[in-house]
Amino acid sequence: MRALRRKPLGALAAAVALAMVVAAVGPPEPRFGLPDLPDRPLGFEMGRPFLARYGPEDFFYDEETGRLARFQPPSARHWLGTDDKGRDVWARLVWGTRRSLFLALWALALGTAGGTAIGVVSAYFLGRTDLLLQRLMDALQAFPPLLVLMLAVSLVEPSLRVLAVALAFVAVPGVQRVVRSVVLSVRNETYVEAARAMGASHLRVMVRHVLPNVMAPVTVVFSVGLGGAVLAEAGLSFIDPSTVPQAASWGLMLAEGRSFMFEHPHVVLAAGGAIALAVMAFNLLGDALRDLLDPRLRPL
Amino acid sequence: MRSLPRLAGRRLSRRQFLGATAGLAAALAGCGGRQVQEGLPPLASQEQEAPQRGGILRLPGYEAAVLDTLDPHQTQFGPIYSSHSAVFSKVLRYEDPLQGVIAADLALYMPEVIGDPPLEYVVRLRPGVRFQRPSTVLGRPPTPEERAVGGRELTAEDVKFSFERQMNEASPRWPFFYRAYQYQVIDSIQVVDRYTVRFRTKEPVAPFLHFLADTNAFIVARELVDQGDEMNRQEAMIGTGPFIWDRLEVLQQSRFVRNPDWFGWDRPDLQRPYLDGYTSIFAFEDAVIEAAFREKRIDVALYQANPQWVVRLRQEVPGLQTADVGLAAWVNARLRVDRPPFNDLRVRRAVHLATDRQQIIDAIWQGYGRLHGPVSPLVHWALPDEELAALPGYRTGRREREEDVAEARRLYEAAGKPPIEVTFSNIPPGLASYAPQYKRQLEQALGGQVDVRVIAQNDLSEGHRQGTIPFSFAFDNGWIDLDDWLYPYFHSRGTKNSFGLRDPQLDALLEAQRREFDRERRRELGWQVQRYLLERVLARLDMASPVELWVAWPYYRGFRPLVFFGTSYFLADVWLDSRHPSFRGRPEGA
Repeated sequence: MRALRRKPLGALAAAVALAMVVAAVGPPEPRFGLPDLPDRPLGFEMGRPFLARYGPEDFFYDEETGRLARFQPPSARHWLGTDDKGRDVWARLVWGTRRSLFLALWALALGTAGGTAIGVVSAYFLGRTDLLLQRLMDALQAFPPLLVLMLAVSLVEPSLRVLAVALAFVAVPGVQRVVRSVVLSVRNETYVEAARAMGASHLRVMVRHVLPNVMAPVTVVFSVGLGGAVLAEAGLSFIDPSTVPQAASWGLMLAEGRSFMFEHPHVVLAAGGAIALAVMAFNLLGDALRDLLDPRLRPL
Repeated sequence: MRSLPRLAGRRLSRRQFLGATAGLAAALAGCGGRQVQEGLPPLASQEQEAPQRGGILRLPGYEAAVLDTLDPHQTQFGPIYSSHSAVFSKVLRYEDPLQGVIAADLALYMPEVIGDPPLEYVVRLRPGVRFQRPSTVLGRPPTPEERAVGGRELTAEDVKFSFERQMNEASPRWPFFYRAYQYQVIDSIQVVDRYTVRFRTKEPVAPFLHFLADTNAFIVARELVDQGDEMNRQEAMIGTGPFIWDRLEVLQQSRFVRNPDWFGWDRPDLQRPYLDGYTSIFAFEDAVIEAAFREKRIDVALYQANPQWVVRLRQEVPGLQTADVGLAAWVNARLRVDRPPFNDLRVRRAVHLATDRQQIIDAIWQGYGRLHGPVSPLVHWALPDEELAALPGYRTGRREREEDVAEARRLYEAAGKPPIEVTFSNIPPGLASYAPQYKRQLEQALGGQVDVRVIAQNDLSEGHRQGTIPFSFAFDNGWIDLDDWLYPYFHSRGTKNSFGLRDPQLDALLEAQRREFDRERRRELGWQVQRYLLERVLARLDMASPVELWVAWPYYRGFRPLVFFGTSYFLADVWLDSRHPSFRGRPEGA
């Protein structure tokens, strides 16, 4: 509660993030397999999101004309109206949340793990290892993230898994840079020297003594990175909707709705609003976490 | 306009003027299905109606999307036909494709037909027709291709070569001559003299004159074809048509300039084309097209996904030329009828009945479309609209639709509910984005498992050629003659028969329509084929075609919406009226 009072914006951001999670998850179904996106991110199938009233591609007919109920205004039946193909905008928004959220979580989990490992190894050993890894990271960072994503989905058959791996790849250099800077100071702490003097192996020192001390900044980087991943996925879906056409996506909703944005702005407003809210929430959450976890920023 | 001062002093005689305007009026009047709105500001005198020379017409188009070979005899991609039709000539051409009116192009007059029923066609070519010399217009040094052929007179040998090339089964490119089925009816092509060619057919063929005017019937120079029997290079695009292909900037624009040596059909004195050239600008975004049109950076426009801006523009800007025109291209599904699950007619019929065609029109074209049978409703040969609309699968009434869906489900269940995978083309984008909805629609109607995937158009074409795609869903060009709508697709020897279809009864019907010279009786035969296809074949499920909403500025004279790809030679009659008030504010070099 004290944290809530100290960081009201952060609390609000956490509430939005929590709302996204609630919107994205659905009842578990007795179907297990390798994790996949968007409906089996943890290895078990999730049913329709709790907050979605319809499927993402369910379409509706106008009662009077019998034709597709295109561009219906918001109503009790369709909370955010319908789109150009007679589909429920709210339902697509919620299904899109599942895709955006789990894709971002997957990507950041992979990217953060990879970036942390590289950052720790690079700063712990320094010397040639550090030089080699850092130049490699510099080279990776030279590629604009969106370009890397587009390259990935054009080289192999596009899928959300490919997208997640590509996003992780893009996230690695940024994460490792932060982690490396922290490890550079941690590696000279007395408890690390003590562990070395007691004969602990390098791996043990890194895992047991260095890694726990970089988790705070890693958590912050993870949270802020989620916003970037959501934005990158939406951007890619917007630019090239054919990458993963079988799933509802905020970027896809924007791409499809923009042709009608003057006559029927509700579709782009809903999708654009969701993207903006999610990115802002993750960024604010990251800021709040940093303030809370960094002892130097705590009030005396 | 850069060239206006040079040309402003030119005056046409009254007779020339009346002839030109009468020709234009006839062409406009003959364009069925088109409504050009009245209300253009009247001009002060007839003298002012004289076509003006000069100016570059700018229009939105797909010519810069090069998704196929540039070879005029091997492409089957509509926008490339359009480019070719400006650059190359044919023996005959379509004066009015919708009504099927054919006129002489390279021929001096319509061919002399010998025999009853006809077996021989004697074509007399116009003397003095010369291949283009791009360097003289573009100010660039001549390419090796131009040095080989530029300025040379087109002769009967070129005509003979152009058709025999497409009949040559020994060619390494033989599978890519998609119009070969037309020329296989030719028994011999004889060069009588420098300007006379005699075609002899193996048997009487009713659409033979159409074959001389059709999509790939361009006359090319032998010198431009390489050793691999290809001319897939822009430098080889040297023909005898009204425009020279100046520049192709892929996915940006394609530029054509006036061919000053063009022969001008029956009126060389008019010195057409009136334009200095035209630029086809590749634009897919409605907002981009609308903005460009409002600023007069393009002279004509049509919607891509959202027709509402065109409707709004028409209300806001009175006096615009408008036309609501069906496009001959259409959406269809192709099924492999020689392998499971679509070798079972019940499954094919189930998909046919389950498909909600009205939904396709509403979802892809926002309601601006037409139901489409085996032949486009725009042409003479189509089944009557009322008959098509009453057929199962095409019925749109609520009760009839429920009946169709119930029957589809019954058939599908009787066939064992096999899983279905649909492969969509990635272009146009509106079609690809409809894929998930079609999946949902089929799943709901059939109660079975349906998967969809989207692949590149090139891959889809290749898949059709190799027969590896069991169920595809794509856009296709439309055709003019009955034979083209049916024969290549459904005859056992058809070049577009990607269905694995072998039906002797259907073959016999398709051959019968080729032998029938009476237009109305041939149409009856065509209807018979179409009914047979819908009742007993269902290999190609024809869905719907769009209705395009066009707007053009009033200064765009001779505006004629293009219903078919491959009719850019119509632009030879177009001119820009710089005296018209609407011309003010048109940027020159945009």
